[in-house]
Formats: sequence, structure tokens, C-alpha cells
Amino acid sequence: MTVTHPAKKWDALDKRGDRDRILGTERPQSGEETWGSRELSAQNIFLGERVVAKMTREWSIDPCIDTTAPSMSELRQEIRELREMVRDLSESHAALEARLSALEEQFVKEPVIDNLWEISDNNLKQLEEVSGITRTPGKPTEQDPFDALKGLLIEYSDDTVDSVELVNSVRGK
Amino acid sequence: MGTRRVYFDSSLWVSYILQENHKNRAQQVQQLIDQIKKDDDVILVSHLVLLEVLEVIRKRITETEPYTDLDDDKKDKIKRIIQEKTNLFISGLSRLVREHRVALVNSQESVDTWFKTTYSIFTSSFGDISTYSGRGNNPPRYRYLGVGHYDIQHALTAKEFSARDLYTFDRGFAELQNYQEFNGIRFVIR
Repeated sequence: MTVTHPAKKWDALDKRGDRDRILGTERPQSGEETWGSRELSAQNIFLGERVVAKMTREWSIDPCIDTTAPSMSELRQEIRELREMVRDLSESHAALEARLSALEEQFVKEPVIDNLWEISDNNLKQLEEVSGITRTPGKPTEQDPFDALKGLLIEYSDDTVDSVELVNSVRGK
Repeated sequence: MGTRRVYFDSSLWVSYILQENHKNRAQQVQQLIDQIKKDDDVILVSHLVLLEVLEVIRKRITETEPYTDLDDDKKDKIKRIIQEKTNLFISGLSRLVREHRVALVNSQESVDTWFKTTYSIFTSSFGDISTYSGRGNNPPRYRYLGVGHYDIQHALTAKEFSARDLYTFDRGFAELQNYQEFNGIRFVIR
């Protein structure tokens, strides 16, 4: 749907010279009054004032508004068309909102990073390189690795141990 | 949807290696690990958690060593113990990572983005101010209680790697539950 702004309609009339005929403000073309020369004669100013006066009389509009008003039927048509546009935009907006919400919901539910093990294996390799600790060759131990960590520092523990305080102490809290 | 992922805050690992009695925490961690094994879930360990645990190991061993004197021999002795325990921790963790029971993760975001997000969350929260009694004749004092930037970074990593739950013993995480950035994560604070 295309809505033509009233001013553009008048521009189109200008190009064909129709507005002057409609408003009765035809003027002779002369070299002195072209846009190229940028000269505005007293006659031209007078002509402008006449146009405003004529429109004010005929259409009862405020002469301070620097535009040419279209007819009431045109305005009604414009309003109808604009209302339709607003309604279309509202519907599009609602559809986009719904689509965005669905995507956001999916984003929260689905794992974002699928290459978890690739990242983890790479980090392990780097950890082994930095620490100098590599897997022990030979027969793998039967002990569950969780059990190997359980109580690793038990000889440094007592009843006063508070894991939160210990962690806070290294977090600078 | 793949295996479920859970994030252990450093306090759980510290509790587990020290077999903490306070509030039966070590026992709670054990039950959690047993459940995770049963469900075939994966525990996420971030670089931040790893570094915090290693730092606690250093501090705890140093500070509980019975005092005799302090010379180079004593320092070397403490360092040796720390190195031995550090190696054991890394070995155990490496096995878990190799067997894909634990995933060793680090943020894939740029450092710039990472700090901007942390800063944004940090500055939009304040926490609370409380008082505590001074010892002896000292007057009461104010204490700031609130989320720290490390807490935010743990939660951001958990979120980035789609952790279903973030387990911690630290109540400081409670404030993060209300942030839109952490929608989808359940903060389990015990």
C-alpha cells in the first residue's frame, strides 16, 4: 500500500505546472527568477503573499502554516489509509514479538554450546601441559576418581572448617 | 537435548576434599555426586573453580601446619606438601575429565564482553548493609553483604554452558537468582 503525502502530491503538480493553473498564480518564466540564479524578486514575494491570501480565504486555514492543504475528502482518504497502515504495523509487531519470545524461550532451554567435550578435552590437554601431570602409564587404577578426591585434605581438616569461609578468603571477601 | 549439566561452586569441592562436618556438608556433596553418577549427569568445573580450590589447598596447608620455626627447610617442607596435594587433586580431576564425567570449561566470550557483562550485573546490584558486634570494648561496625564479582563470573560460566543447576553453600549467590541474565539456572544453595 502506498500513501502519498499531500506535499508530494503538490510537488507532482508543480512539475507539470498544474498547481499554478489550479491556484491562478501562473507567472511568466524568466531567466532572472530561476533557482539557478538564486534571485528572488519583489514581484515573486508579492506573488507568494497572494497565494497565501487566496488559500486563506478559500479554505479558511491559518496563513502561518507553510503548506498547501488538500481537500477534506483527500484528508479523509489519507486518514483511512494511515489507520490501515497503523493496524498492519500493529499486527506485524505482535507477530514479531511472538516470534522473538519463542526464540528467547528456546535459547534458555536448549544447550547453547554443543561442543562441550571438544572444549573440555582441549582444556584438559592444556592443564596437563601446564601442570606437567600426565596420565600414569601402565595399569589403570580401579579407584573411582571421585573417591580419589574425597578427603584429599582430611588431615588438614577439623570441626571448625567452613568451606564458604575458606573460599571467601581466596575471593577477597 | 544432551546430558544434563550441573555446576559445582568451589565451596562444594573444598567441602569434599576436607570432608567438612559443618552442617553435614561433605555428606550432602557425596549424596549429590551419587545422584549425578546415577543420572549420568555431567559436572562443570570452570578454570575459576580450579584456581580457587588450588588456592584454598595452599592456604589451608600453610595455615594449619604446626608452628616450630620458619626457615628455608620449613618453607620447602610446606611447599612440597602443597605440591603433592595439588598434583593429586589435578590427577583426580583429570581422570574425571578424561572419562567425561566432569567437563573442564572456560568462557568462550571475549575478555572484553566478559568483563562488561560482569560489570553491568555488579553495578546494578548492591546487596545489603548489616552490623556486627566488635570484640571486647570495640563498638559495633557495619558490614557490607552482597554479591561479589567472582560469584557473577561463576554464574555466567554456568549459564554459558547451559547448566541446569548451580550448587553452592554460599548464600551470596541468592541475589543472582533474580537476574534475567540467569533465567533457566536453578541456584541450589544449601
